[in-house]
Amino acid sequence: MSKTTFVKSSLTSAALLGGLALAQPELTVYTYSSFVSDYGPGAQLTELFEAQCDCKLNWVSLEDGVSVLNRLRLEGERTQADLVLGFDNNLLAEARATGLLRPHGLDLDALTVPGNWSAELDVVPFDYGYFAFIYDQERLSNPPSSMAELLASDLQVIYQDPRSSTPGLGLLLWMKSIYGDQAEQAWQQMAARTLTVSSSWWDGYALYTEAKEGDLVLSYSTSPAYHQVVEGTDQYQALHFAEGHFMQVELAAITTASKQPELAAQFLQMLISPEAQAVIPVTNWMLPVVAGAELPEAFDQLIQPEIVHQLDPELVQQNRAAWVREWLTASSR
Amino acid sequence: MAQVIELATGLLEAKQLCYAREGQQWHYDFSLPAGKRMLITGVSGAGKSTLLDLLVGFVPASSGQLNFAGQNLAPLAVHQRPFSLLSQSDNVFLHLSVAQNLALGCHPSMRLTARQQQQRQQVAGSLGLLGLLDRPAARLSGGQQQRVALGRALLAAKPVLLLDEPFSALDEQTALDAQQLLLALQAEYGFSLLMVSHQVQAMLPLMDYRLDLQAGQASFSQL
Amino acid sequence: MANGQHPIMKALRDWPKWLVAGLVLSLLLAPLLALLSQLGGQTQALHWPYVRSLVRFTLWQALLSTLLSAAIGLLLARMLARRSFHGRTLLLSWLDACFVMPSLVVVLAVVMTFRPSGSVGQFLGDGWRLYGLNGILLAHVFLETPLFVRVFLARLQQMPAGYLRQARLLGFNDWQMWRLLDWPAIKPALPSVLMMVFLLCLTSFTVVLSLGGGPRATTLEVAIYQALRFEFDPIQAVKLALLQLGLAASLSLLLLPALMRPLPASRSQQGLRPEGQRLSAYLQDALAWALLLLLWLWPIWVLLSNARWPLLVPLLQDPAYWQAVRSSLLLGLGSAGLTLVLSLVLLGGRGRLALLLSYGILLMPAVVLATGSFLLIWPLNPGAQLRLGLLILLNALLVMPFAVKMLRPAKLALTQAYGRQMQLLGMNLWQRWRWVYWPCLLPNLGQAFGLCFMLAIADLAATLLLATPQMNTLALMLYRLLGSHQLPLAIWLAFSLVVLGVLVNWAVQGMAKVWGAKRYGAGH
Repeated sequence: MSKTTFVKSSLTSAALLGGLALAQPELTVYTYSSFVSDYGPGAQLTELFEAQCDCKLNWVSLEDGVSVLNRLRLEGERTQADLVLGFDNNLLAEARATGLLRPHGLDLDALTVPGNWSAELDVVPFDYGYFAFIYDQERLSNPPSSMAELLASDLQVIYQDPRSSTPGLGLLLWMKSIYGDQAEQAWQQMAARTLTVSSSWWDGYALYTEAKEGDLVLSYSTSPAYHQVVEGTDQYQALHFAEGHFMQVELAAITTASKQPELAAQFLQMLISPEAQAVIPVTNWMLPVVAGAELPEAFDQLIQPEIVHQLDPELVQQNRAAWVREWLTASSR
Repeated sequence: MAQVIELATGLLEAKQLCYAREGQQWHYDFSLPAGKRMLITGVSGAGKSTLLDLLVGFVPASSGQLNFAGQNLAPLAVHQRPFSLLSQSDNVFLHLSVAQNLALGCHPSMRLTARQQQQRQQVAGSLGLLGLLDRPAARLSGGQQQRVALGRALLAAKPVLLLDEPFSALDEQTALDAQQLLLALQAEYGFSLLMVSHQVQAMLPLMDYRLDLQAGQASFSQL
Repeated sequence: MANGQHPIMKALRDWPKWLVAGLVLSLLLAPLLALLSQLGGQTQALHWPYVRSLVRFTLWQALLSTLLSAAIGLLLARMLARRSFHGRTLLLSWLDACFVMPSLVVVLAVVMTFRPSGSVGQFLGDGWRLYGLNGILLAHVFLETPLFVRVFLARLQQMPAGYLRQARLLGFNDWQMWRLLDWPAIKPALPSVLMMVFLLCLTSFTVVLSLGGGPRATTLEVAIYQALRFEFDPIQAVKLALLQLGLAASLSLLLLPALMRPLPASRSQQGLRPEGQRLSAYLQDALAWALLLLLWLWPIWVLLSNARWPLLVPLLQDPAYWQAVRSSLLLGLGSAGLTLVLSLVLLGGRGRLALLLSYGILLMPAVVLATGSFLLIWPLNPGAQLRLGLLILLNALLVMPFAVKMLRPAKLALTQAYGRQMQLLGMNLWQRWRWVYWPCLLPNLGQAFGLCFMLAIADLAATLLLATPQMNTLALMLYRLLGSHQLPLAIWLAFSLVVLGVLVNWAVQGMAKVWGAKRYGAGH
């Protein structure tokens, strides 16, 4: 990540949020911090949408994806949010259980993202990807080729907190998918490998790429494309693990509290339009949910997981708290 | 010199005035006519300062009567009683100027009428403080500070002045000067004077009455 | 009664004091009640293995921080007691400044110096890890050692000059000095200062949050915040908060009087000590200097030397930065002003009420208070201004003990000196304040305001819990930049925080001086 974008990003996102209230209708969207940072898709999507809606987009940035849902749950019917953006397939059952998602009535049949999204029509997937550990080829010459190797190594790993961050939660479920009942022992091994647990994806990724600390950082299989396209370097690569990778589909939804559901639905429609889907891969660095989106060449060189793990959202809903406790206990010992 | 301050003088009477604390009792009986001087003597702990505290109202009497000019003082608040007090130290506010310290005697709001300002000039003059009016009290000598306190007591126009070892912190010559000044002012303004002092032999010839305190009992005598 | 007044009449006349006391008490108790009222709700049971390791780490890091700071403090204090050199006073002021330095600035300095690629960290070998216990200890030692130095040095310098003369005549060596004179001098002060620092480290929030690095190094204070902010599980937070309250409160109860005692003033060098020329003294002093350089001078130099001018220009052009400056200024001025008003009203009479309420506030960990307030306000969904107002109120409460600690002794001394004359002259409350307390306390008020301002703008615990995502203060901005490792830019935020604190201190104390001099002569 270049220094100047990094420097400006957090400041501008705050400035962006402090926008003036105008007579135009205002659409409030809760999302995670990196989505609306300077290099995230926020600014371009705002431009795209405001050109067609005669309204104003008001982004509210929260720590990370899990916080978005938690915030919504906390505020309940009183929430200011018209839309929540950035929770994921793993949190789908929990999001529905809040009773705060309003059906949007859009046609999602054209989506190519894995999963049955046309059943309930209350969420819209806008990108997807696979969790993976990223390493710096200049710093690490002999990277592990499986989770087991990683755990047995003496590497220092940076990952995110599953209580606040969707990649963190992703790792929690990934470990569960691989190790099942032995996950606790695996986490104990991971605890010895942990450099730090960051509260958001952004913080952890910056520690690795900016401060150059640690040997591995948890991110997405698509992250190397960013460095390739923006920085023109193949220094950062994703690790292809023999046990397979965990899939994430990022979601957006309208809240029942919204007083302008039509406008909100219009935003969701825009989110899966070819224009937006062309923006998201090269700003949020995830895969598009529609076919035919034009991608930079760098995307062809990404790792292609053969084994893809997913867990039933209901199962996640029932067990998330217990699994988080398991992780907490194992890694605080 | 024209009298600009007039005092409502009267007889100060203590009748079986008693103060009790921690199983000990102190009894006081005396009657001091207007404009007279009384020396209070006794060893340390005999109850000299306690008497002053009782008179002023810093501590309540357990029993007995305290009258001034026929009026019972017990229900009155400290500042309503007819006393001014000069102690060994801390009599003047060091951060305030001489003029401000004197003004506090006239009225605690320091807003003075033309007549009060005239009084202040007069008193400052008779105490030799005219050239020092704008100086902070902190920059005065010990003797000058006691003169300011004396001046403030005069301006407060209380008929009885209580003195608790007022000159013991001063050097010998200054103390002697201050003492002469005090007695001259007393003669001039006619206030009553109660003084606690260890210098019994030096002071007795200058006094009208003596209250000697021993073992909680007071013996009052005219000299 | 002395003044012919009934106690009930007196209490009625003191109504502003009781009103303020009621206000402070309800500000203290309402959050606690809000916490307790949550307990009936549905939640998962406390996960004991996790809680156990939380408590264990909380106590362990506090114990290590305290002992390390005490040991280094002792080394420094003895060096300062036996050596006189140019800049000694400056060094002492610098250590005092370190004690009130915003934790986030310390964290930044520690990170920049001791991370593996940092100027010191690169020499610490491959196994060196900053995040976790190491980082926490470094920051705590930086912040707390100056307190030990202050207390120990004061004890050493209060030693009668006659003792030192005799010790020189007898030719005491270093060990004899320590055993026969220094240790007996320091010992009486040791328990209270040890426990005070232990309590400070026990409830440390900012340092652990920024340098902890995961569940392995989390304290209760931080776990409360995470339960609330990450999991939005108020009940879990309440249970942890009550645990923390029990732990911190039981400890503070033991040393309340010590907590409110004013710090001893540092005095100048007196009397030559006999052991200065001994080899062991030279060795210890060399170690003391090495530590001083490594921990208190070098990290700050690293901050200064890494400041990059080109980054400052866009920062100064950024409206978000000025918004943060504005909020911090409002927060600091509001909290410091409010706390002084509250303290002054409460300090009426002998100030026992102020003392009592300060004890109450000291018993309550900041995160617990903020958590309760958070629970109280979130159903109201308040706007940014209301939240800032609440933050001001909360911080005013949190810094009140420091204001009371600084003002009460000064006011008592004045009452002692002038109380009788004021009564005799019939000065009413207004006149007493106008002519005596106000002018005499002005310098103390200036100092107290400055300290409270500094503490309030550095607050992170209450701010993080109560701020909306849109809200910005300098401390929040610095915290976020630290999180995303934009360290060069974070340096400017750290400077902003310190400069703002210093400027306001300077302005307020200057104003107090000028005002005092102009209206009340040359002072006393």
